[in-house]
Amino acid sequence: MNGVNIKQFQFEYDLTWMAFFQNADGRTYVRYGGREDHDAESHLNKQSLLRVMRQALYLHKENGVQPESRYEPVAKTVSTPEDIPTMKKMMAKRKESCIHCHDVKMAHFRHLRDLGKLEKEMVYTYPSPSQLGIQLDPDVQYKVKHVDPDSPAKTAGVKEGDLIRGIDGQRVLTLADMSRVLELAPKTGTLEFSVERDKSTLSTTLNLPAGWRKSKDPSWRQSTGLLGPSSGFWGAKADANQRKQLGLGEDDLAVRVTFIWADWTKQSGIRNGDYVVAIDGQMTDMTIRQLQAYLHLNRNWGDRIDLVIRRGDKEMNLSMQFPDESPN
Amino acid sequence: MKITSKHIVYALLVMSLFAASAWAIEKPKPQEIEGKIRWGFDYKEGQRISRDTGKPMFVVFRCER
Repeated sequence: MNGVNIKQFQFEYDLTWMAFFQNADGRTYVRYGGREDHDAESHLNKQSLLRVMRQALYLHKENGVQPESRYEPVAKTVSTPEDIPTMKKMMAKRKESCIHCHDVKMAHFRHLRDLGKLEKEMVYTYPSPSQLGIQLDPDVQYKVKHVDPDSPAKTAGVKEGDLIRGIDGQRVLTLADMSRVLELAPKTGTLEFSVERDKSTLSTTLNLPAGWRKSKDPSWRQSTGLLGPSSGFWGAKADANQRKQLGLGEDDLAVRVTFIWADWTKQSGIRNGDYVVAIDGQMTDMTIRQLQAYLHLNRNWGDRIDLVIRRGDKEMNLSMQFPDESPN
Repeated sequence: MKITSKHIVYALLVMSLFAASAWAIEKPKPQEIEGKIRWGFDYKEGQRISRDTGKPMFVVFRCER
């Protein structure tokens, strides 16, 4: 991201892959990328990319760039990742000077933290329409594949097979186009959807309930790491044989500690090879990333948490005291 | 207009990657893939080529960690 104008290229910086189709002036036809929590490539596939390429070529021929709006602003000035006040200090600790996409969000979060304005819910950027109950067809990404029951989309009358043509007046062709509109949608309120059904265009209003952006498993987001304390250890989920020996089922928490780096973790008495079977009252199965994200988003620096570990035949209750401030 | 695979391949010749770069990193040289796709790493150069050829840009950001 070195030198990229982030006023022009605004997208989900927690992603590892994102694309734009543009004209020579840098005006966007369509975005392509994005993901659901459960799969980094949920909406990346050859068929949909070819479809979007055809649409981009058609729009290019018709001069159909997205009109200037808050969703696709025309950057009149340049602002780069290097301009974020915390970026220089952050990069000084690195051997390499390449600014990754997630570094942009991390540096921004660090800046907000310095200002005392960082909030945990800020991690849920560029939400998927699935947060409103709309499951998109991964191949034809403006087509509704499924509508979740008891969701804002269901209440608004969105149906399977509907073609979503616009949100808040913005043309949307892909998951990434929709997430861009949803990124700027309010915390609560309403949002107008334009859908095509049986060759007729319909308009419907979706309610945005409190907390609608909050997804079930944000552990793939690097940026969670700035929002709360770390366990200070890394580990791996126990396999079937290990669970059998521990007497635990596949739905039980069982993370084998493989690496400890934090002083507060060492002080808790935890050791490499221990199995964590409960942490802060959580006993259901998690990956180490999910365990970390749980602490980042549900606990604060200065908190004390309880753990239960298995070491050989023994089960031990431990306590971990996080320092009052993040060491980073 | 129905766009055939032939048109798409032709378009891909110039719909290349033009991720911008600066701040103490060396710009990689353009990469040719099987003689069909030319991936560039200079956004302004990509805009120039797009203007000269009349073709759109395919701008990709990817993590290579």
